[in-house]
Amino acid sequence: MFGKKQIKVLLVDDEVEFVTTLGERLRLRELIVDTVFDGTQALAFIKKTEPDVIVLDLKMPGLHGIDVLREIKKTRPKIQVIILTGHGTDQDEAEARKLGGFDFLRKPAEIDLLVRKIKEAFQEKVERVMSAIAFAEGGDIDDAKKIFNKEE
Amino acid sequence: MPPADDASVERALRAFAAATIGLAVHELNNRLAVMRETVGLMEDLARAGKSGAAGTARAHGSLDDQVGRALNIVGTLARLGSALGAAGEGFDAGAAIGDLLGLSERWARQHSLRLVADVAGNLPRAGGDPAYFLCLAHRLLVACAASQRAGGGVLLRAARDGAGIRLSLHPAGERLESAAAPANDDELINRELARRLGAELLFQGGGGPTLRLAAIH
Repeated sequence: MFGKKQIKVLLVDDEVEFVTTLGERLRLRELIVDTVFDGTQALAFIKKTEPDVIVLDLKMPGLHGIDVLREIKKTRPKIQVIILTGHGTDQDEAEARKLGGFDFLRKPAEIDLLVRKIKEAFQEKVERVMSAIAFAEGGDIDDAKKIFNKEE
Repeated sequence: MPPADDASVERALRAFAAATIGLAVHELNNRLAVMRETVGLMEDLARAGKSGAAGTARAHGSLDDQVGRALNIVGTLARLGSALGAAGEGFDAGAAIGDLLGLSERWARQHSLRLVADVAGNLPRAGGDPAYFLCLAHRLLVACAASQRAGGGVLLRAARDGAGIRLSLHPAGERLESAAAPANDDELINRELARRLGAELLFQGGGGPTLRLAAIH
């Protein structure tokens, strides 16, 4: 069902050169990539379209990445979020994981590692959606919703 | 009012050093990340047989720019290290203001604020310990900028003032309604830092603070 689907990635970082270059590298690896430069733009973007995975910086002008993650998980829980930051603390990492962030990477990260994490995040999303569908088809709508929204 | 004690001043110096080193490391990390991605992209394109002269020239330009920015940060950190290790030897006020802005730039960008310096040429060498100056000026700058709405900022003006140097901070933009008056403890620490620096700290109604530094002649 999802075997040939290209993964849609949104990169969110205020370092324009970094995000532009990283975007080009990910496109060369056959990912569909969009880029925005702060948290407000990211939240506006996901109102219009839904990426599979968001790669999110923490320290940006305006909204902090943790607040952006919280809002994404509230409004679009299916989207997987990987934090990629140059200055994340252990406390940030714990908070990001508590809020449902898929992984927490520190800049500069190896491209192969980032691509692997994006693919793992996408795979987990696919499996979650398929489980939710199976529960829903079995009539267990509440459990299906919990799985879909990644609730514990 | 009793002066701030040694422990409070020591904490203020440590907080200043931690904040500025943290921001500088963040900035350096970003420069390294851009360099790594730029080199990686050149390799990717070469492997895919897609590299061309224009792309290579652009990548070299970007690398050169990133290295230059990283070297600026390293230079500022080196001067900060010297300042923190100096003991009342006096300092170049113009260069210290430049470093202060460099160190605060990322913080300002994150808060959508602008910091601008207007330093009159040929400032005399300032007397006192540069660590106290940088710490105090940073505290005043951040407090002044943080009282502004996003889009605002602070203008730092430095000029000769008789036999000394006058550094004044001018908030530019719209003041936040929620901006609190400085806490008593903060004011005591600022006054104590100014006293140790041998400077005079003045607050004039409505505007930002002014620091009068003694000069070495």
